[in-house]
Order: sequence, then structure tokens, then C-alpha cells
Amino acid sequence: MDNTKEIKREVVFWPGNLVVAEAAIAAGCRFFAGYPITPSSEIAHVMSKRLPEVGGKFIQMEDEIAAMGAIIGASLTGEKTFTATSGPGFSLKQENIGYASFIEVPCVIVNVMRGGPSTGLPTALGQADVMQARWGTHGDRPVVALTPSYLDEVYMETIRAFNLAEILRMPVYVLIDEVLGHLSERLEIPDPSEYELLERPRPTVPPDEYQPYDSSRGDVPEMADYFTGYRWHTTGLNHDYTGFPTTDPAICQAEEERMERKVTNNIDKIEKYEEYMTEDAEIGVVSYGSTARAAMVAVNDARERGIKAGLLRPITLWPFPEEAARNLGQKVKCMIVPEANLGQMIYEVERVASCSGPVVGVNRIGGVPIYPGEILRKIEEFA
Amino acid sequence: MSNNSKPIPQVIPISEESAGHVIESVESVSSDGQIIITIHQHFCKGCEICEEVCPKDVLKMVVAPDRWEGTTVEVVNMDNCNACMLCEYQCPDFAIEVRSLKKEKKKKEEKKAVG
Amino acid sequence: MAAPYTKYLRMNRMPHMWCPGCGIGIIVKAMVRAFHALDWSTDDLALISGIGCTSRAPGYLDMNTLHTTHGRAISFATGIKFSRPDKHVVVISGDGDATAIGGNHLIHACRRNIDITLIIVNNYIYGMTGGQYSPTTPTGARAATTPWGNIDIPFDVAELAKGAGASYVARGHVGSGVQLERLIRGGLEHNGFAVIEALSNCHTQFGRRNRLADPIDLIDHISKKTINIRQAAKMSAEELEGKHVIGLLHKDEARKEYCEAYEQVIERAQAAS
Repeated sequence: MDNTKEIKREVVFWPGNLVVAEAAIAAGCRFFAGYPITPSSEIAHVMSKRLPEVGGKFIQMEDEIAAMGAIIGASLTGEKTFTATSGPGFSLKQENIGYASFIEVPCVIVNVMRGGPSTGLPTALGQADVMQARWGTHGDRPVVALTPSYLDEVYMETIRAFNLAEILRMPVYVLIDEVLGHLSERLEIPDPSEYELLERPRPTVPPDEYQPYDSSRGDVPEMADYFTGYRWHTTGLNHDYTGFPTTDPAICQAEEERMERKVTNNIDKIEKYEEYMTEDAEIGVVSYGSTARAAMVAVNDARERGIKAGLLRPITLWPFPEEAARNLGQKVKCMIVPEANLGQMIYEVERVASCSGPVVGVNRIGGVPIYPGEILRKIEEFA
Repeated sequence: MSNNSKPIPQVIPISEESAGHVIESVESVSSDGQIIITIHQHFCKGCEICEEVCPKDVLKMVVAPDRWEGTTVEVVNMDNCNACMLCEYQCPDFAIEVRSLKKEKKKKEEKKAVG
Repeated sequence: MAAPYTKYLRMNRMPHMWCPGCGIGIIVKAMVRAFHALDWSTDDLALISGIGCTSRAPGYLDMNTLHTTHGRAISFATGIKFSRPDKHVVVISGDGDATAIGGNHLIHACRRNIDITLIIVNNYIYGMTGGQYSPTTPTGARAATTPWGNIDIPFDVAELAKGAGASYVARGHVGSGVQLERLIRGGLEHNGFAVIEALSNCHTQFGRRNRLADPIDLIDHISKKTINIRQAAKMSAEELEGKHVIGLLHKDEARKEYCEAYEQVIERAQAAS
């Protein structure tokens, strides 16, 4: 007799931007601030309708920078917050993203990537922000960027983004692209009992003992909500555990290294990737996002032709899955990196994969997706 | 023109930057005991605004080598003070406070009458 | 004393870092007296700033304080207030922070009429960064980036706020801490976006380059250029040339406050779904 409880899931046929919005609400988000930018605007449209329905707050700010400021402010009051943008808006937000990273405030930034640079191709595919996601703001800070490829994955990775932002006390990116944002797929909406919702660590000491960056109990400091009796200060200047500015080089170094450890010491909670047919692979393909869907088809086609191809699909683009890439790289005689840009992730693959053979790209800009045939031809070239 | 000055040396816990500076607050009380001027000398930066705005020549800047800026303010004509509060309103450093016990009593009575 | 200042100060961070005679201290004190007069709990107060000398103020005050990025304080404050409309949210900003890089956020907050109180300390210069000219530096004045004399026309900050739709606009100056307290208090009490421009003295950066290096001389110079709104009403345009009108310049209590308007959106959305 089957004792497992049958979970009834709602089946929908939704475009990716709607999936992001609904997943955010499922994750407990009740505050969105944004600015219209193609191809992310549908997320804002949905949030503007849905948030007041669930008692939440939506605000369209006067620019991208203000939207980032507003979600940081609201997060300080204890809310789960997010914003949605695309390449040019992502560029504008970088200073405030660095601020959120440095004062260690949870928030989620969804970047529906488009063709770049500059105004680029607003209504077309691009994977333009790989490196901007990692290095877009000045200074050093850890980065977590999630890159789902299928809409059911978009749903769960959006929820996971909120969870990671909360437990790591940092901004977390969800990087999709115009194709994923606008295509519709059938998906089953997970029941809330199927996943956990996590919260930031809140103070375990009374206000007179509280320090906003007290790392004596762990690298992720406890974060007090505004207006709850913990009257704390923080600043974008380098600061010590009290939240006040310091120019002491030793303290600056220690604090920034602690921030890096929030990610490096929690890789097991963060890192996610898919290894498809990599066990006996002779040609390795590394691809993410909507491009990986074509790469998957190409790998299958290659196998049908007797070529032992395998796919590594990062679902966390940052931190880059170094161990998995190295395992693949040391196995194969060539690595192929299809990207809808002129080569960005390929630098990471080159850096970590220790491949004895060439690491080559399949690069397409101009907004047209990379077709499986192009990737297959490249596989055949090196087979 | 008698002057009832009682310096009350207080050592207030200091931040590391001010280590080495002696911290003192000085309280001056009028002869009739009705007006009190408290000067937090460790906050005073010697800008002279209070001396300038005082209409009654109550305050004077003096040389004080061991203070923050080498000068501080002192009460020199306590009984001239009519608690106009201009020095308190115009001091940028939170260094001077004026209390008129007569005014405070009046305020308390007004509050009682209303409440 | 007019207020128990130490109750509002982070005493372990004092004395503050502003130059001897700097007007920011006078303005912050007036703000503290206003908080005290309203008997607001420091737990319910958030004070947000951007970058500059003025923006160091929150560090000294014992409330929920946030020192943000240059020009953006209002957007952070908007997130805080919109999320917690029942709390008191105050922004203190300099003239460069609020009207140059922060200009866009200033005018939209005025238009939005969200219940935040903004105090703009206008000392006609970028003080912290070494005396560069700002959008309020007088024409002809010398600054670190106008060594041959400023050719720009300065903003009338109060007019800018009024034109953008602020429902409470006042201007005070450091020569009168009593009036400043009253104007700030009015802004705090007002249910809508309140802008109080406080004319101030930066003798170190502005004054020294313009023959007004003494703080008292500069405060005097500023005070002499001010004219009370009641007197100004009786004066001609020529007589008002070069003068700053001070007092409560504009108040509109009929304008709907933003968070309240959004509450109605929530009601409608929840009724419909």
C-alpha cells in the first residue's frame, strides 16, 4: 500500500517573467521596487497587480538606482524584497548593489538579460552580464548568481535566491534572459510543503549588547529589523563590527575576508549544477541559461552520432562550479562554451578546467539564439 | 556682582580618539540659584559663537592649552544671565546648556493646569 | 535647557567631527529639539543621509540610522517609510547631495508626497570633498572647481521643492536656531513630504575662498541676506533681489499622502480578488 501523501500541484502554462513574479510571492516577498526596462517589465506589471492583493507594497521608482535604494531600505525593516531589471539597469544599479553587499542586506535582483552593450537589443536574447554580475561594482565582494534554464527551475531558483539572500545576508542575483523571460512552458507549481522558506538570523542578544556586524557567533552577523528597539548604524564606508566607519587596515581586511567566507564556507548550500552524460565524456560542453537548452539537444545529437559529448550546466553561475568544471576538463580533450556574447564565461572555464585540450567558444550576439546545430558542428570539429 | 562658580570635574568615559584629553564639565550657578549654565568643555571647539551672540556679556573665550582647540568658553558674568538661551541654541557643539529653574517651574505649573 | 540632548546622542561617538563653528551642529541641535518637542521615541525614528559633511549627522544620533550612497538617501528612506508607514522617517542631506546627484530623487519625492521630512543643509559648497562648487554656489563665487568665479546660476532650493509639488516647504538659517526648530517641527508634524532648507556656513571651504573665513562673519553674512516672509510680502522684486526669504513658504494639507493612497490600492485589490 502506498503511504506517500499525494501532493496536488497546480498545472499552469506561464511565461518566465510571470513565473519569477509568482515565485517571489511564494517565497514571502511583500515589497517590490522597480523601473520599467525591457524585457523585464512584465515582472513589474505582475507585481504591481499581485502585491496589493496579498497586502504587499509595489512602487515604481523614478530610476533604476532609486529602485535599488528602496529595496535595500525596505529590507532593513525586515521585509523580503526584490527588483527586476535588464543589462543597462543592472549597470546603473551597481553602486547601490555594492552598498547592499557591504552593509550586508538581503535582497534579490532579477536580471532578464538582453543584447548589449548600451541600449543594445532590448527585445532580444543576450547573455551579456556574466562578468558584470561578478565584477560590476568596484571593490571586492562575494557574489551569488543563479542561472536556471527551465521554467520549473526558474520558479524554484527564485525561491532559493530569497532563501540564500536571507541566510547569507547579501544581495543574490537571478540571471535569466529575454528568451526565458518571454517563453511559456507548462509547469507544475510546487506545493509550499515541498520547500522551505528561510529567514535572516535575527538578534539573540538584547539591544545594549547588539552589534550589527558581530561575527563572534558566525560569519553571517545577526541582523536586527529597524524599529524593534535595536538602534544601529551602518555606512558604506569601511566599517567595523559596530557599523561605524574605520580606516584601520587590519579591520578592513578582516571584515572583507569575513564577507568572502560567507560564500566560500557555504558552497555546499549554494552551488548547483547539472552534469549530463559527463561520466564518459570526451568532449565537454559548458553552458547555462536558455543556451544550455540548445546545448543539451546538441549533446544528445552528438551521442547519436557516436560522439561522447557531455554537458556541464551551471545553475549557480557565481560562485562558478570550479570542481565540477575541473573534473570535466581533466577528462575531455576539448571544452566547448556556447554563449550569447563574445566570450565571458569561457574565461572562467579556461581558468579552472585544467583541460589539456582547447577551450573554444560558440559565440553569437545579435539576439538570435544559438541553435543546437551550431554547437553540434563545433563538437564534431573537435571530436 | 557675585559669582557662584562650582567646577565639578567629571571624568566621562572617552572614545579612543580623545584618549589623553582631560574631560570636564563645568556648572555655574547664579547667586539667587535660579539659573544654571553647564559647559561641557570636552565638546567645546572654541568657535566663539556663544560669546558673540550673548547679549549680556556672560561668556568669554579663554586660552586653554589642554582643550581640543586650545580655547574654551568660560562664564565670567553669571549674574548678568537672563536665560535667553541664545548661547544654547547657537552652539554647534552641544557644549553649553542653560537652565532657568523659574521657567521650568512655570512650565510644570502650566502643564498641571492643562493636564 | 531646551531638550535633554544626551538622550538623543550617541555619547560614545561625541564630540562630532564638524569644524569649529560649523552650522551643521546648530541645525542638528534644532532637529533634536524638534524631536523632543514631539516626544517621539527614538525606536520609532529613522535618520538617513547620503554623502558629505551633513551626512555624518546620523552617526551621532541614537536612533535607526543609515549612511547611504551619494544623493540616494531619499530612495532608501522611501523604501523604509513605504514599508513602515507608521514610523518617523527623516532625511538629512547637503546641497550637493540633494540637488545635484540627488536631484531626481528630490523632485520625485516631492511629487509623490510620501510622509518623509527632508532637511537640506545648504552651505553653498561641497564641503567634505574639498570645496567644489555645488548647484547652490552663488554666481561669481570662488570654489575649488571655480577658481575664476562661478558662472552658474544657483538653484532656489525651496522653489524647486515647491515646483516639484512638495506640500510643506520652509527655509531657515543657522543664525536663528529658534526659528529653525519651529520650521523643522512643522515639517515633522506635516503628513506629507516636507522640505526644510537650512542655510548654513561652511567657512572652511566656502568662506575661506570668498573672504568670509570666520564662522561668525559668514553666519552674519548669511543672516543679513535673509528676509522674513512677512516682510518680504511688502517688498518689491527689486528690493528682494539677492535676498533669501525665510519662514514657512508653502503648506498644502489637502494633498493625499502616498502611503495612505496606497492603502486604498490594497483595499481595492483585496476586495477585487
